[in-house]
Amino acid sequence: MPEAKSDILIRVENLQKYFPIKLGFMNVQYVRAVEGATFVIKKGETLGLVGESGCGKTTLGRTILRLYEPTKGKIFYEEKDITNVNMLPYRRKMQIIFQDPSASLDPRMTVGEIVGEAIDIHKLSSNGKERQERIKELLAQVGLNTEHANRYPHEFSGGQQQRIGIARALAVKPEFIVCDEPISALDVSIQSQIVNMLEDMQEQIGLTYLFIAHDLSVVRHISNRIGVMYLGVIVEMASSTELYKNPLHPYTNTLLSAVPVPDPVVSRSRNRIILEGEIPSPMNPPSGCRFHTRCPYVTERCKQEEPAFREVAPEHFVACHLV
Amino acid sequence: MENKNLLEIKDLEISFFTPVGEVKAVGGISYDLQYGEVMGIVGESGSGKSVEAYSIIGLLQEPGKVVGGSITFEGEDILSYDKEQMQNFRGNKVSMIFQNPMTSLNPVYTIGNQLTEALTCHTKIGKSEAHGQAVEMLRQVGINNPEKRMGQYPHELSGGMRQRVMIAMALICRPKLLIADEPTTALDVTIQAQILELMKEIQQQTQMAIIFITHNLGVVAEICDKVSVMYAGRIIEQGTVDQIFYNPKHPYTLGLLRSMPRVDATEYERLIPIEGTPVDMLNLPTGCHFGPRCDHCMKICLKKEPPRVEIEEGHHAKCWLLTKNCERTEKTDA
Repeated sequence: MPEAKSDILIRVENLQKYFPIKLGFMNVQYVRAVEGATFVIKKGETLGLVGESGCGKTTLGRTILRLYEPTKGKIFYEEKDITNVNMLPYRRKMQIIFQDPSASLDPRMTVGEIVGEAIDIHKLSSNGKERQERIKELLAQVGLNTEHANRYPHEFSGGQQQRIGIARALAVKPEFIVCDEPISALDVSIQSQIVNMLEDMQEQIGLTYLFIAHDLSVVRHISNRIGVMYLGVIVEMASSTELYKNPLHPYTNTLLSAVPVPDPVVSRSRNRIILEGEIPSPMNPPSGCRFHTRCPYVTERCKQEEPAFREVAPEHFVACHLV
Repeated sequence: MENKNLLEIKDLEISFFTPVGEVKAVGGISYDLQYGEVMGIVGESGSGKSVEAYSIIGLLQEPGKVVGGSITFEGEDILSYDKEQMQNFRGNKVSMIFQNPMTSLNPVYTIGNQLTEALTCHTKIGKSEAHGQAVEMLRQVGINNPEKRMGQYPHELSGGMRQRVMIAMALICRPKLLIADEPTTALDVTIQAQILELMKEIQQQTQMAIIFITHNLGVVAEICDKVSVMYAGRIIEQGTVDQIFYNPKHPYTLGLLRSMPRVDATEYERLIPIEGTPVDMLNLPTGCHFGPRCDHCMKICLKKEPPRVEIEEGHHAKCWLLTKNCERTEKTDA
């Protein structure tokens, strides 16, 4: 039995997150941010999550960490149900790196304090000297100098701030990190530095990532498996090579063809699928398949019946009637 | 002396005089743009790409100032224009699309109001005619039910719609040059694809020239004829799209291309990043500004600014490695 469960770190079952919006007295509507997400994250892998803004990918990431309380569904960490437990011990194991590094670091704390705070909360060092050593070690790990510990976040460039954010997440020696668009606020030449660093850490410490981003090229590069989200629903999930070679859901297809390729000859010859219209409101999602309003292959059935998320090939899940 | 260039920029220098010192945002750039040509300007934030474009349309704000060089549009020196001439020029011959459509549309005026304003300012047509033209323009940029949209306010439209309205507004006076400052950066990929497709279509119909400012090399490959790569206020390499993408000569251009993962990659390859941090514009390194981050940095790179070297027709770069007396030229080719 230990073998069977050993390779699964996180399991999410039918996870749902609604945000209430009060429109008036007795009139509450819900933003259906995440609906019925069921998947696993294996130990040591990187699961990528892509989708356009407002599709619920960040909400899903935060709900798994219980930074948002799930409306419905269950979250398991190493097969232990953590949906209703005190999260403090789990915060040591599960961390997050945020999108905007300048907004996620307290401007009044020095880098040393930011990184050290986590060590204090979880009582990871027995004395001051050990604590200092650990901070030094963490800063070195993310490519910063020891003297940076006494500086404030505003003294750093965006790329360096993101390194601080990563050091802060690593301070508690986590097993699992949600990377929520960790590079989209950075300059192009800095993005690859951070991507490489995340890959190195994974190799050294054996981390597991949930990598959330809207940039498909980066997600494809860093992930072992990828989930595609549309309007709160995971519509397709497969290994990254499989997903790019053999995308089954029409949305995945259009998303892939919409990404500009930095190669003039390829982009001249490429046949693009241009989607009509825009993403409907998550407050009032379309009936049936949520993609049916923009899908080029829509049928009557799509409008009424919600497609099930099923395995069509080994490890390849898709929610579409036409597959 | 007939010239076929729509726009000529020569040794343009722009500085910002800030309390902490002079920031040389643009340090001597030159390029020509022909009628109907689409040029991409790529560079990281702070490389001076937007500032340079703002100066063409006379929107450079205090404490920024053009301190040297010239901008010539259809043979006329724009920098000598007074306020009225500039107002006539702007919107009429050159117009601009901004990155964030929400902040660049006026929230308290209707779409129709803002669209017809440009027309009534620059032409002598009446209100009802302007209205008709505005509706037609909205239809052209792919907005459904344009009559209804004319009476709506910006907040009633989605991001992609607003960017379409911005484009309609920029194009309504049929300018000869459109400056697009990161027009798709704030948009989702599927919407970005729609807007790029629209811009390509309109460019082909109207044959206007476009300066397309972006940091996304994929977008450049898609829409541009030629590219200028900027770093720390200088154009460090310029050429046609094919020259830049298939035969990049400057280590920075090469570095940028190598550091990006591709969505159509067939196998996993580790990214090769450009090391170091972006330049501090207040303390620019002497010599080549890219020198401290460059893999091929030589002694001279840190002392003297490299000259502009012509590689072939229309393709030039600023790098010591490309000069005749540099032995390492061959090596970097390999």
